[in-house]
Amino acid sequence: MPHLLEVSNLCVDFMTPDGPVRAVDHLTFRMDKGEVLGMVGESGSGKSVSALALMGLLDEHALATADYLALDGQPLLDLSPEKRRRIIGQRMSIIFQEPKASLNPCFTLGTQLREAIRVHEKLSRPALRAREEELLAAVGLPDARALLDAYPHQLSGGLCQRLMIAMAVACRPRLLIADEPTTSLDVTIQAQILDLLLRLAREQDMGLVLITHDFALLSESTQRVLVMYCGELVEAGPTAELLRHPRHPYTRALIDSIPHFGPMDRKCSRLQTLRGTIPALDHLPVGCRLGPRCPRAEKTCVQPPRLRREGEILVRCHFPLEDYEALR
Amino acid sequence: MSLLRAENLGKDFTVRKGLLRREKRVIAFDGLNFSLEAGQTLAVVGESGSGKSSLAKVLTGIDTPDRGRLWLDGEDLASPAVRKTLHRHVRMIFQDPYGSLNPRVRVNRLLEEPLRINTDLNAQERRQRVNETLLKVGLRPELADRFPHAFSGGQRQRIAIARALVLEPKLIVADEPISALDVSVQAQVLNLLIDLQKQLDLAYVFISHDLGIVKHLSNQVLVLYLGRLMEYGDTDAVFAKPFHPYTEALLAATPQFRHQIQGQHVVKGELPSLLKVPPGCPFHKRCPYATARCAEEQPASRPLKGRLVACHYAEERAG
Repeated sequence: MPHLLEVSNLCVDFMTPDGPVRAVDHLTFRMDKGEVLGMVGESGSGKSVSALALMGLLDEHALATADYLALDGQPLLDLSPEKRRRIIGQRMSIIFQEPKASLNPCFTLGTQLREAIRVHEKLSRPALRAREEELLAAVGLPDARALLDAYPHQLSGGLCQRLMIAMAVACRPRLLIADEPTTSLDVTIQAQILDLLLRLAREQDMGLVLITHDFALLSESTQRVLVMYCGELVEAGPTAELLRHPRHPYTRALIDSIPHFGPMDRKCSRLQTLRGTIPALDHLPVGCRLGPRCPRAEKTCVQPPRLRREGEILVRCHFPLEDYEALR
Repeated sequence: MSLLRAENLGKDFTVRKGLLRREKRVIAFDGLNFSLEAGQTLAVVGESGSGKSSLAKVLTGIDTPDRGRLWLDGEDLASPAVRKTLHRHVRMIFQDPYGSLNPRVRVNRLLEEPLRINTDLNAQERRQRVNETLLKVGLRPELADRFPHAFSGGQRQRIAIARALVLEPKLIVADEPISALDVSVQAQVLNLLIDLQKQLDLAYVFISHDLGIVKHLSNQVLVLYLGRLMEYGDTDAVFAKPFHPYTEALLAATPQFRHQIQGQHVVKGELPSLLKVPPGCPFHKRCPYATARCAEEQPASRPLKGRLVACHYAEERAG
């Protein structure tokens, strides 16, 4: 069975006045059909840029290259840009963090939802209406036709995000990328939106990429996680295994930085965290990019580490942690 | 004697709405009772519109309460003489260090200003105090003649913390102080707050929507919904067994705690607008356990096993 998505050596360079800056560096991963994949990392780690590159949504200052890219077994790089855009548009969708910023404030939500439907299928008026209703019901808003006459500013963030999701799944995508879909919402609404995304993925056998900086959010909703740092994949593997035994010091630090989450957490104790901040992409350290912040760094770490396989886990580190306690 | 004590504290705002611009009174919060000891942390939890930030403004003296009383160190803050000293003893840290630091003022002046207004230290003493405070928050005093834009988000929040500390306050009100920062930097700033509390015996009112942080940091928790007290008590006890359905809903919505809540996981519906607070219990429309009584009668918050709980069925739920 072909994989849902295959990405090999995806690179994204931004052209700046001081020369190109690489925001995503040789990212390779695969997704199975219906899989829920997490992508985690801090700002500047390249997770959102990778998502935009896959969707073909980067602007002209960015150059995305890859060795191989296939969706549902169909290689995409040999196609003409127009054909590729068409296939990606039909089979992949993306939703963003700020639903109100993604919606057009000048049009009603109904206009925007109908546009999303019409782009993909020619429907008669009654059929269009039926499809609208079907989509509203799918995102948990049955009998909510009145919402379609509203403008985005009249509704809450949670409702707008539901309608964004309705638009995103209007084309019945095989893969939905959700880039921090719940970050700007209230906690009870966050839980609702996350449940909705997971239910849609399950019901429609749709692959789901959840991009977030919150490891806790990924812990129960994803099967596998990719951990990114400074544009590189630093660790990848099954979620439960990564949480039980992170191999990379950065993954470990992400888990430990969340209060009341990691196994080492003690009430009112200092959290284990990395020193310093994520470096700018045009001033990356030599060798391992975590080097200057890493408590385990040694001389060898000025050599860039390669991704290595350790059981089910891929890790980019010269000195992967032997067990959860190893950092102490 | 508690450092801070509030009794039936309430605050209203008026808004003008509709064609006739009629004035309408909106309750930001009402009937809040709580107290806080020196060196301890009270967490205030709730979603948007729950009155958390309005409460912060009243506690720091930016706004005056409309109802109820507030004591700091046993002195009633209603008296003007006491209110004057409030700004020395209670300081605030805001959420967004990009918005809370004036971009056109150098860091040393940002930190010196509260000293100039509230103390009679001379220029040299002020400079010394500023430098000491910068060291306390882990910043090099040499950097103090720079403007805020020269600093990263985490460093800016350290500057904001230094500005709060420079008057050596007893209480710091922190309104979501780390939610605008990156995860590893969040942990650094949280560690700083923990260290400072131990060193200086500071009390915190910590406003947050992140229950993981609240559980980690606070001794007591005050859960608000649409400005009403839902539950108030010892953090560990409340998290171990929430008596109020809203507290339970919040825990169920947070991945770290979701597994310990049985049954209904996600509450339905949206947060109501403050202009249209439902009659009866403000949470009844979203509450999975609501009965006819909840729609009619607003439950009073009452003591129960060392907590305050505002739910008609709190006693049954506490078991």
